[in-house]
Amino acid sequence: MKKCALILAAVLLFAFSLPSLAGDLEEAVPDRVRDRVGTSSAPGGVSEIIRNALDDSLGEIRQLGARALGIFAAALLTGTASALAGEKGVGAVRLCGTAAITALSASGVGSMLSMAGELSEQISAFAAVLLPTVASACVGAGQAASSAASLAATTLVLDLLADVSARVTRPLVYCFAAASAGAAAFGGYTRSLARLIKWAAATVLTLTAMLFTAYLGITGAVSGGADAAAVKLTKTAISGLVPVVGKIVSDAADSVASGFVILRNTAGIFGMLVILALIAGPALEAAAGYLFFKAAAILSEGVAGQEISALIGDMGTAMALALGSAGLSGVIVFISVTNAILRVSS
Amino acid sequence: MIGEILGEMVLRLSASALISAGAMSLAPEGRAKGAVRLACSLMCVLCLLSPLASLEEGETEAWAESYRANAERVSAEGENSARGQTRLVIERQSREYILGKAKELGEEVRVSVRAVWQEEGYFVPWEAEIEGKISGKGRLRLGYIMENDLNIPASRQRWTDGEE
Repeated sequence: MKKCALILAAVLLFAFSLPSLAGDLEEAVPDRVRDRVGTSSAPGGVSEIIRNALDDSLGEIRQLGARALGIFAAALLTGTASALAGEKGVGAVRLCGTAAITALSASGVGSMLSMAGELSEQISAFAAVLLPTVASACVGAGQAASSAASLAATTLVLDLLADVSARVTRPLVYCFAAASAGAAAFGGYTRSLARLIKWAAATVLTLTAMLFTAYLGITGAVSGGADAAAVKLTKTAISGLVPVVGKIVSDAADSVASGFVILRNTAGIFGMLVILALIAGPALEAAAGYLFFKAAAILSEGVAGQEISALIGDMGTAMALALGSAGLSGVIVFISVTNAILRVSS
Repeated sequence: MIGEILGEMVLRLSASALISAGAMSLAPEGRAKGAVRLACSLMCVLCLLSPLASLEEGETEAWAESYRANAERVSAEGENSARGQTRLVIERQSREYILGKAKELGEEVRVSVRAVWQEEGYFVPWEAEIEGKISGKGRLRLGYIMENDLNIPASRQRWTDGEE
C-alpha cells in the first residue's frame, strides 16, 4: 500500500515534467495526422486510424484503379494493333504501346515518389523527438546502456534511410522503370538490368531490417546485462545503509523507475500510433496501386503479350519500390520503440 | 554520406549498363561479342566499386561516433532527470518521516531536508532544517532520531525557532 502511494507520489512529481515532454511530442506530430491520433494522454485507436487513412486515401486509390484500367486499355489496343499490323509493323506497334503504357504509369510512379519523400521527412522529424524522449525515459527506468545503444543504432539507420530515400530511391526507381520500358521495347540486356535493380533494392531493404533487428537483439542482450548488473550493484550498496534511510532510498529509486516506465510506455505507444497514422495512408495507396497494376498485367498477358504484361507488372513494382525505404523508416521506428517498451525493467 | 555513395553507385551502374547495352547491340556475333561482354562486365563492376574509393580513412568511424556521442548525451540528460526526481522523492519522504516523528512527540515544526549524491550511486538525506518552537526534550529526541534513523548527524541539523 505504501509502495503504491510512493509510486503515485513519483507519478505526481512526473506530472510537472510530463506536460513539457508531452507538449514537445504533440508539437512534433505532423499536421497531416494531428486530428487522427488524439493526444498523448488520450490517444486514438488503431482501427480508427486505419479507417481514417482508408477514407482519406479512397480518392487516390480510385485514381490508381482508373489509371490501371487506362493502362489495360492501352495494352488491349497494342495487342489489337499488333494483330492487324502484320509481321513488319509489330515492332513499331510494340514501341508505341510501350511508350503509351510508360507515360500512363509515370505519373503514378512520380506521385508515389513525392509521397515517399514527404513521408520520409515527416517520419525523420517526428522520430527526432520521439526516440530521445523514449530513450530518456528508459534511462530513468534503469536501462541506460541498452537505451543508448538502441538510440544510436536507430538514429543512424533512420538517417541512412532518409539519405537513401532522397538520393538513391528516386534514380533507382526511374532506372528500373526505364530498364523495364527498354526491355518491353527492345528486350535482351535491359531485362536483366531491371531484374538486377529490383533484386538489389529488395535485398538492401530486407537486409537493413534484418540487420537492425538482429543488432537490437544482440545489443539488448549484452547491454541489458550491464544495466541489470549496475542496478544490482546500487541495490547492494543501498542495503548497507541504516534500515530507515535505506528503505527511503530504495523505495524512492523503485518509485521513480516505475514513473519513468509509465512515461516510456505512454510516449512509446503514442509515438507508434503517430507512425502508424503516417504510414497507413501511403501504404494503402501503394498496396492498392501494386495490386491494380499486377491485375492489369495478368489481364494484359493474353491480349498484348508477355513483354507488355511484364512492363505493367514492373510499373506496379516501381510504385512499391518508391515507398520502400520511406516505409522501412517507419518500421524501424516501430521496432525500436516496441523493443524499448518490451524491455524488462531491472 | 552512405546515401551519397549509394547514389553514385546507382548512377554509374545505370550509365555503364546503358553503354553496355549499346555496345552489345553493335558488336558482331562471335568472339568479338564475347570480348565486348567481358569488357562491359568489368566496366559495370568498376563503376559499382569506384565510389568506395572516395571514402577517406576513418570517415565511417567518425560518422558512427557522432551517433554514439548523441545517444550518450541523451542518456546523460535522462540520467540527470532521473536523479533530480529521485532526490525530490527522497527529500520529501525524509521530511515526512521527521514530521511524523515530531508529531508523535507532540511537537509542531516545519522541516526541510536536502539530499546529496553519493559516489556509490544514490542520494541520501544529508542535512535537515527544523523550524519552530520546540521543547528541549523534543529537540534532543528528534535530533537523536534524525541521527540514528536518517543518518543526519547533529552537525548537519539546523534548528531555528521560526522568529526573524
